[in-house]
Amino acid sequence: MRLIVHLIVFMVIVSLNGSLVNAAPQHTSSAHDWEMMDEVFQKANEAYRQKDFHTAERLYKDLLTSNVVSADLYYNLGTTCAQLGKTGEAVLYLEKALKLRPHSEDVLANLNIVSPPGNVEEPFILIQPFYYIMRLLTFRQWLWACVICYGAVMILLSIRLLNERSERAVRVLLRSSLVLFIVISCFAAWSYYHTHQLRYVVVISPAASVYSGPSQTFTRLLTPSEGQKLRLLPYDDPEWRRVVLPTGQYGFIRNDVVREI
Amino acid sequence: MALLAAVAGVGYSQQDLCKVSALIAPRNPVPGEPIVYSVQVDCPSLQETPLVQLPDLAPDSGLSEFKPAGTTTQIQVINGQMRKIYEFRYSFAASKPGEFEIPPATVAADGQIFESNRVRFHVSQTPQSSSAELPPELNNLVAPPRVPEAPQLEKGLFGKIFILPVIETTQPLSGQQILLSYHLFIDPEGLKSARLNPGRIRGTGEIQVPQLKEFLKEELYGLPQNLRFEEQIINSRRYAVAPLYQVAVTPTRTGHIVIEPFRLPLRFGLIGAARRPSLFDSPFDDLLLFDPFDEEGITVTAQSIPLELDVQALPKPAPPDFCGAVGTFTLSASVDKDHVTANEDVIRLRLVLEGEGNAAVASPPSLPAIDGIQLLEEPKTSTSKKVNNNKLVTSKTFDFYLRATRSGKVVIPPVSMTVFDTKNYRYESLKTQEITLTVAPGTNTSVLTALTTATLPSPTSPREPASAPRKELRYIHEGELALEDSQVNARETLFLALIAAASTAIAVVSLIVSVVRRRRMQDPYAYKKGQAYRKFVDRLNSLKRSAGTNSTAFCEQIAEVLREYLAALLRGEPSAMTTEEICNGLAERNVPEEKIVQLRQLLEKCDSARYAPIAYSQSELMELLEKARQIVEETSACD
Repeated sequence: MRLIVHLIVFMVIVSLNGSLVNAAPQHTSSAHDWEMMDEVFQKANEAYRQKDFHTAERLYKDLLTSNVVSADLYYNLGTTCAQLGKTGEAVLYLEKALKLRPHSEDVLANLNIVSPPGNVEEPFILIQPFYYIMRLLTFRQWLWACVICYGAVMILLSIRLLNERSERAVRVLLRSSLVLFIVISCFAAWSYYHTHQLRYVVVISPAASVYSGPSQTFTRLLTPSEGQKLRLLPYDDPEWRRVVLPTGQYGFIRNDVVREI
Repeated sequence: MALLAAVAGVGYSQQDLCKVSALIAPRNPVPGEPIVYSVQVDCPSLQETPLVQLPDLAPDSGLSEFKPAGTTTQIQVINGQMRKIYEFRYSFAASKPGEFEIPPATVAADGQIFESNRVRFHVSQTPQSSSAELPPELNNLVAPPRVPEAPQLEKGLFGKIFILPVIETTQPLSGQQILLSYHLFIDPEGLKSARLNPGRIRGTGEIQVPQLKEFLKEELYGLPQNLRFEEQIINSRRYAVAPLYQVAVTPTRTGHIVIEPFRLPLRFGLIGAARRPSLFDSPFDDLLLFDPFDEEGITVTAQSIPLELDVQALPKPAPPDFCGAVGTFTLSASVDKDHVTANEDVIRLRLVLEGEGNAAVASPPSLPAIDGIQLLEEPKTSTSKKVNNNKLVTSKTFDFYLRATRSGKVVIPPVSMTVFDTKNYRYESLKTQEITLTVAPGTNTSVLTALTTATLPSPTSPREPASAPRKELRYIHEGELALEDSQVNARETLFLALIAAASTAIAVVSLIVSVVRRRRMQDPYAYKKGQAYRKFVDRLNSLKRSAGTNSTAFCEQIAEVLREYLAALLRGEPSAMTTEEICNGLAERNVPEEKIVQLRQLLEKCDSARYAPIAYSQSELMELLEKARQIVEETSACD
């Protein structure tokens, strides 16, 4: 029993340590780099405040080229692109921000303004509550919840094994945490499928076309509006992307008129 | 044509119970035409199926051999009496006209022999048809049908069944689209005179459609599943006409081109032939020959004449902006919106070239430079076709995507395309109407990504500051740059794995502990015994190290350890058991007597060392220790 207590204490310490580690910037090689990036970010914000959207866009994109991944950066860049009338890019960056923060109200509000009709996913009405829950957390957060829940199940199981005359509360807790673990695992798997398996592209050109084959000689199936989100299918061609049309048909669109979210 | 064939008589049995008759159909055949010879056996009470012995026909008689053509059985119940009527059919043909006689057939039924009547018939000459009988409108347009089963019929069927090709012109221009259609013509009366039943017709074999390899073709009417006949009278002659195939073709080269014939094999039923076997007929009467899908008839391949075309070249020189379309066309232009915002809205300018001809080959027109309009991308094209008043109308649509770059009135000037007009036989320039756009000032920049760069907006492209920011947009996030990662990195994965592994390890350890505990609970004595043995061995080992320091204490400890172990073995309290009790207990557990004696001596020696101190040497003490170990090891095996 004493051993288990020690292990639990150890795990809590390690968890806290891990959380702290993860909270720190990971993409920067050093704190100095991060400070420089933050400085550029603040300059870009200042340019936006002065309504110098071009400068703001350039600075935000400079940060992107430095492999900075930040929901705030994507949100600010998407909003700036929207101010510049670049609907396609605005939708692209706001969607990227939404991927990192699925329930950010600001991101959702701006996305609703700039997105062309039909971009917003509406799952079947019975699935909507579950979909809402799934979007509450990112896949990473679901994974953490899943592992923590797993740990809780294991520890409660250990207590149950070591203390056969354990309290009823322990048994109830064990069963509850087991059910919770299964539910969280399902949501984590769904979130994984949603964020890692379903791939989307955003049309960034005002004059793009979807053809029935990977060439402009094929029949034109659709003229998507700028900013339209299309589901991507695997296709091995550097010049063409295979997409699913809103009608459910498959089509091909030139790679240079779309960007993957 | 005189009817000479007759049923000469009917053979009856001696009891006049069975009736055997023979007849042929048709009764006035022509050479080559299939003739059905039927033998009917009508008996009231036949137990067995009759056997028919056909008459021998001499090889030089002009009649071919009989070929089985099926058997039918009819059952009639009249006044409670059942009658079975068998009909045996055979087919043959006459190779020449003239008078013929078929000797009686012999029928064996229920052990009796019956004979049928003789059949006499006349085969008349094949009716001679000539092109002179054809309506003048069809002269040189009709090909004779093919009848491989009866070549003699081919002449007789000339002009009664054929495929008529209809082509707009036999001297088209290069690139001119022309309609080619094929129609099946059938003269029902003419077919009846040739003993073919126009009401019983079905497709058979492979249809040969012209390949049209030297044309671009667009199929308008494919081969139908069912023929739909309509009556058409040509020069007071009635024809049933069914459309077969229609295609729009465009010659790909100039000069003489031949289009091969269209061939359609058709199976006709024969007038007067025995009816098709019914599914209700007994198939067991003639297992090998029964085929419910077989039709007694003849296959006639209707065909068209080959078509010869002389394709003309277009007049030269062609105008430099000739788009390649040949026919009669119109050109129209439209925009999807005429009130737009500068630098924001994308305008779709749609040009439609439509008419009778090959609009699909038309190349896009070049858009003139328009002040205040930016062309975003190469035009997108689409084609469509429809048949209007039996004419193919094709259209080609060119969609130009534009964006206004300045506010005010912007005029899209007429766009022109040059086509070759087949009606006037000359090149004609078609022009669209002028379109005026009303452009409102926009919030975007005036310089836009054009044509080549339109698809990838460059981040470095110069843009003017937006004059009116979109206020409905929520404001940017101005806090500290917070970095995050939606992906789970390697370090995090390791950490998560560590948590999972640690918790799993805890559970596994707990499980092991739990299992051990359960086993201990199941047999506490064995556990206690094993524990006492291990404890004793440990203590003896520790005693070994202290030997020689104090022999009294050493002996005391040996006695104590030994008593404790034996008490555990005998399930008693060590302090409460005397030497006597221990020895008795061991004796009950079948420990050998000499071992018990050795134990008693050892314990007494140890006790005597305790109560009457004797100084033992080091070797004596080690000997005592070894004896104690031996006793323990030997007793540990007993139950």
